[in-house]
Amino acid sequence: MVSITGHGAAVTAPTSLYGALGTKYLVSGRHRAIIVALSFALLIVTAAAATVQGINETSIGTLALLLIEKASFGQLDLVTDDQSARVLVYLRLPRVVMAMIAGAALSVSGVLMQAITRNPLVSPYTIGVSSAAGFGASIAIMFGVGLQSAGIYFVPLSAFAFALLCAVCVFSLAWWRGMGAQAMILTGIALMYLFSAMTAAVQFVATEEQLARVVHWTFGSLNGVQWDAVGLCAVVLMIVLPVMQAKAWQLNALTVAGDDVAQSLGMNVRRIRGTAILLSVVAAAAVISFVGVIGFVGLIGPHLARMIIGGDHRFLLPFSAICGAVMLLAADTLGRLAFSPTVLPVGIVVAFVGVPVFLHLIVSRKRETFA
Amino acid sequence: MSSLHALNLRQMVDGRAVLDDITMSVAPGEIVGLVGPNGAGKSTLVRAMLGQSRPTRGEVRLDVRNILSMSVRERARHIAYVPQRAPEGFPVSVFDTCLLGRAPYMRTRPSGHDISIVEQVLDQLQLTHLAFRTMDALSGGERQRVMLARALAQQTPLIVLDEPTSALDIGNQLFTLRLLAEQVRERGIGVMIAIHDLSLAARFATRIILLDRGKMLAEGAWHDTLTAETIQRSYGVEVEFGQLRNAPIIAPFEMGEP
Repeated sequence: MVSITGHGAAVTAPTSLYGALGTKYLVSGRHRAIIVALSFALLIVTAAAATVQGINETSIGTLALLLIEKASFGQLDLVTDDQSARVLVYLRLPRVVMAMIAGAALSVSGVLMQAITRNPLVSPYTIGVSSAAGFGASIAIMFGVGLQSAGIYFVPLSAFAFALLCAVCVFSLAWWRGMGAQAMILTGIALMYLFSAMTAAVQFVATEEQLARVVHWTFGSLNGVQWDAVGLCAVVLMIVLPVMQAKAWQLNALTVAGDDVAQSLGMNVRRIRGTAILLSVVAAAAVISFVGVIGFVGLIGPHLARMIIGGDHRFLLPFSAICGAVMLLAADTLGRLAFSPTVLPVGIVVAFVGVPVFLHLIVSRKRETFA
Repeated sequence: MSSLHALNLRQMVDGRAVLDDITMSVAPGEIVGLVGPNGAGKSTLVRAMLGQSRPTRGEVRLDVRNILSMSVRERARHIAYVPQRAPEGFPVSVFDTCLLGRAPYMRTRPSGHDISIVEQVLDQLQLTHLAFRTMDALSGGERQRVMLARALAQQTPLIVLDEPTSALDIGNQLFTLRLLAEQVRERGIGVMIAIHDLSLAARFATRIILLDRGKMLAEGAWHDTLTAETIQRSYGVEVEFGQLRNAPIIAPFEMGEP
């Protein structure tokens, strides 16, 4: 039995080490774990439903057979309808999977940035990473015409490089001058304007065709996503999420108690911060490089998740990933089907659907954690 | 039980000595009250005692070892820290926040032992009814009480507090200080507390250290350190002393005030 003071504080619990309060705590944790698991199941079902919807109608059965076929490494040949199979493998599946991965990565990136700056306004968008990537992509589209050797990766690489450059500027300035989150956001917004202005300047001298591509890119779109891009982003997410999940307690300490207390709790604050900054920037930049500027998910994904499941990063990290994935998948599917055959860019749909939902959540918010 | 010693501490910031020639200690069973005007170096001394800054000269020792030679995790098992205020705005529950105090002992998840300690600390600080509220939904006083609970859950032989009462109402100030005094009496821990209110410092601290412009102006029992002369020299105010129900009262007046 444990006693802290010895003045009768020691409660004798006959069956377990802890009492009713501790039991309630563990139960609430289990509830939250169940919510995460259920919402993940829901995500998969939604994804399957979204995959078979479109101009070329396919069925869940075909999708299931196709997945089994792929899982058997070509040992089985189940799908007889080649047209359906091609649509699924080369159009629908990469698009749907990318929507989920991109949403998850942006949302997790937002959670991490908000945790280390202790400010709920920070996101890949507000620190300028998104528009920097936009600028990188537009100059690549402009001047990359003659550079065939760089191939299809030229635009994403340039976007990625500028996103990193912007993040390095913002974070190193913050670190060097010892600035707080507010100064960092202001720096980010200033850079965001700068990069937007430069993108606009580039558009002035662009040809008709280049202009169309630049505009399309800055809206953010999942059109023509290839499997290699999906794979790359998936690898990034598969690294970022588990690494940060293992540091969930540290992130909790940083957000709720501050740097000095976190250090007094035996945590290496610099290392946690460095890791979180690096991984959040890489995750956001990787996704944005391929799908364009979808800024909003990185801001509202974390908020939505926090309102539902609370700020404990053990649950917040996986759940915000799911929230972001659902959001982007729903927005893209809506954009695909609403005015079919015209496809609305996902970035636009996210804003149209997301903003009202977000405002509603803020207004009707209850200040109670989910227990 | 452990004690904390500062030996000939000097801390230079931008070519200026923020702390100079500080030699002091915090022993088991005592509350050392650190007082002094704004900018006297109280927070700098607190950081140095926690091992969170590297002194320009001198060293801080935990028992016989230089505190900077210890790992952060080992330090965390000896010294707990309570800041002036906790950040707000993130919805982490009170129970989870207190569990952070067990972080220096945890691997990946809290054990039943950790959970039972948090239960007891919450009970002790009368926070049980708030256990599942989130930190952003609490008042400043409640949040500060949670920070204290978190530090107690750490179960360290030493606790260092940086002006933990300055954002609290008088009821919460008394509650916090009485609780610390009980911990010192019952568990024999050592406490160092930076504090602005001289009357409360005199009433609760077993020993006072008066800092002025980075130097120790006086050290000892309150009636030896907080005299009209030392207070005038450091704060530039006149004081009158009184006593009500055994509690010392130190009332400040501006120079020449009638």
